[in-house]
Parts: sequence; C-alpha cells; structure tokens
Amino acid sequence: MQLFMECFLCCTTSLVFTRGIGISLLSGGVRRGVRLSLLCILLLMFSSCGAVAAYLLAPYLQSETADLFRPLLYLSASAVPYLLLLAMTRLLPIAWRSKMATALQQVACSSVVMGVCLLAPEAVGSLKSALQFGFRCGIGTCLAGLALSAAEPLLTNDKIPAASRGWPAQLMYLGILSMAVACLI
Amino acid sequence: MPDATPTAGILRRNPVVVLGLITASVIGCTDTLWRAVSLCFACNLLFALTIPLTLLIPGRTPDFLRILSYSLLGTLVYPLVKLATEFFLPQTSLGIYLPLLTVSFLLHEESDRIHVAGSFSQRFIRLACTLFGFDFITLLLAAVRELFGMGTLFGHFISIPAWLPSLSQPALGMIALGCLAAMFQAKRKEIE
Repeated sequence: MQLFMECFLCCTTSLVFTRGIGISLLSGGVRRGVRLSLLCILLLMFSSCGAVAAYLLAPYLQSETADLFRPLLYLSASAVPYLLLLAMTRLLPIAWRSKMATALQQVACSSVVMGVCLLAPEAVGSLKSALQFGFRCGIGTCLAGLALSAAEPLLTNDKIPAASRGWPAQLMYLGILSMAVACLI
Repeated sequence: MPDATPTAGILRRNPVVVLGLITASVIGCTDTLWRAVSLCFACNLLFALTIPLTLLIPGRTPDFLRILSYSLLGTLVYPLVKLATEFFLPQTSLGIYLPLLTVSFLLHEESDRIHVAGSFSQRFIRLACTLFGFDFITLLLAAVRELFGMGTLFGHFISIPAWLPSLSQPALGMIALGCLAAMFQAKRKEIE
C-alpha cells in the first residue's frame, strides 16, 4: 500500500506528466537507443541534488535582481556533480566511458533538472522535503521513460498510420497518460 | 535526416514537430496566443544573442565542456531576455518556461550547427529558418488551443463556442501538438 501511494505521488509530481518537461530528453534517448536505465539513474541523482541546491540557494535569491541569475546559479550547481561524475568515468572501462559521458551531458544540461530546481523553492519547506521532491520528480520522470520505452515498438509499428508513426504517436500517448495522471491529482 | 538546404528548418527539420525539441515550453506557453507571442519573442531574442556568442568558444573545446558552455552562455544572456520580454510584452508571464529555454536541446544543436562550415549568410539563413519554423508551429498551436479552448483569439471573443475548455491543460496540449505533428508529417511526406 505504501509503495502504491509512493508511486502515485511520484506520478503526480512527475514533470513529464504535469508540465511536459522532459519529453525531448526521454523520446530523444529512446530514439537514439541510449540505455534508459543509465538515464534514469543519472536523472534521479541530478534532480535530487538540484532540488537540494535550489533549497539551499533560495534565501540568497529573494530579490528581483538575484532572480535574474537563478538559471545561471542552478546550472552552475548541476555543473559541479557533472564534472565530478565525468572525472569518475575515467575509472570505467573504455567502452563505457563515451556512453556515460554522453548520458551525463544530456542529463546535466536538461530541462528536467532545471525544472526541478525552479519548482523546488515553492514546493518545499525543509531540506528533507527538498530531497523528497527531487527524488519523486526523478522517479516520476523515470516512470514516464519506462512507459515510453515499453510502448516504443507499438508506436513505430506499421499498423500505425504513417503520418502519426513515431514522434506524433509518442506525444499523443504521453498526452493520454498525462490526462490519466491529471485525474489522479 | 538530410540537411542539404538552409531552409530545412521550416519543414524537413522543423524543431518542434519533426525534431521534438523545446516541447515543454511550447506545450506550457501555447494556452493563449499572447503567451505564445511572448515565447516566440523570448526564444528568438535568446537564440539571436546566444548563438553568435558561441562562436567565441574555441573549436578545440573538449566535447564534455561544449554543451555546458552553450547553456552557460544562454544563462548569461537570460537576464537581458527576461527584462526585454517583460518590457515589450508585460501582459503575459512565461513563468519557468523562459529559463528552460537556456538548457533546451535546440540551443545546443543550433550552437553546434553554427560552427559548421559555410558562408555567414548561409548560417544566418539556416538559423532564421529554424526559428521561423519554431514560431510558426508555436503560434498555430496557440491559435488552435485558444480558439477551441476558450473561444477567443488574443483575448478577444470570437463567436465560436469553447468546445474543449481543457485544451489549455498540458495533457490535451500534448495531444494537440501530436495531432499537429501528424498533419505536418503527412504534408512533409507529400511534398517529398
């Protein structure tokens, strides 16, 4: 029951279903055959770190002038774990390094992480809830990615009309899932 | 996908309905036409200021720093874009969708493409066509959503009943964009 409630919360927090943020990242990854599990793990890490960074930076970004530099600060905050993880990829076998580097680049400079940072200050009141928010957003995006990846063979099937095959069908499919999630909220 | 002509950005490589980029901002800001106009203005200004700046990034920059530096340049230009949008179009607010443009994959892709060999005018036409393709789809989607969702255009009541009030929600916005992408894809195949 607890697990079900947690999945429910993750779906309703997911930026993909509630605001359409992250569709390009997921569908691009699925189309390019990027390993979804790797994308999901990195998204979880970056969205959790991003939410915590946004919470910690919130007291310094109250003024209107500071608000103009919010994206710069958030991107700089996600650049730190990006560069650290990139340095750690040197410990990986050579065959994995380029895949890891590509996935890291896509996730660190993605709209999902920036979206979590931008929404976190309004949604959270403590460090623990910031971490929870970031984690749930990450899990929600991963669930959307799983749903998209599972439906990918059907959405590119010959039985789908040629005009709708591929990207248009993915959009409509995610839209229908978002409608279902919107009913849960 | 072939990219032989500079005008490919309008139809063959349309950034929204073919490449699937900047989807979040398009879905989030096309509930009304005025918001869509704000988005187009902000996006065009951001790209017009950021992409020439990316030419300052040396060609020997390692791959792992390139994308990050494009987005960092975008965030440096962002304050100017935000102030300009608020000044010229004060009646609408883009919320979180304006900062999201600074990390969009379209910015990364166009920044990479500006470094591709070619005359200055070719590169400029390529970028302008991509932005035109983006503006066209954004405004068209916004017109459809506002007309059939609220029965208005630019806030003025048109004597058409609002058939689908929830068209302004993101979920139906995704479906509307999907339908538009399907029509676009059919037209593109017809022309090719």
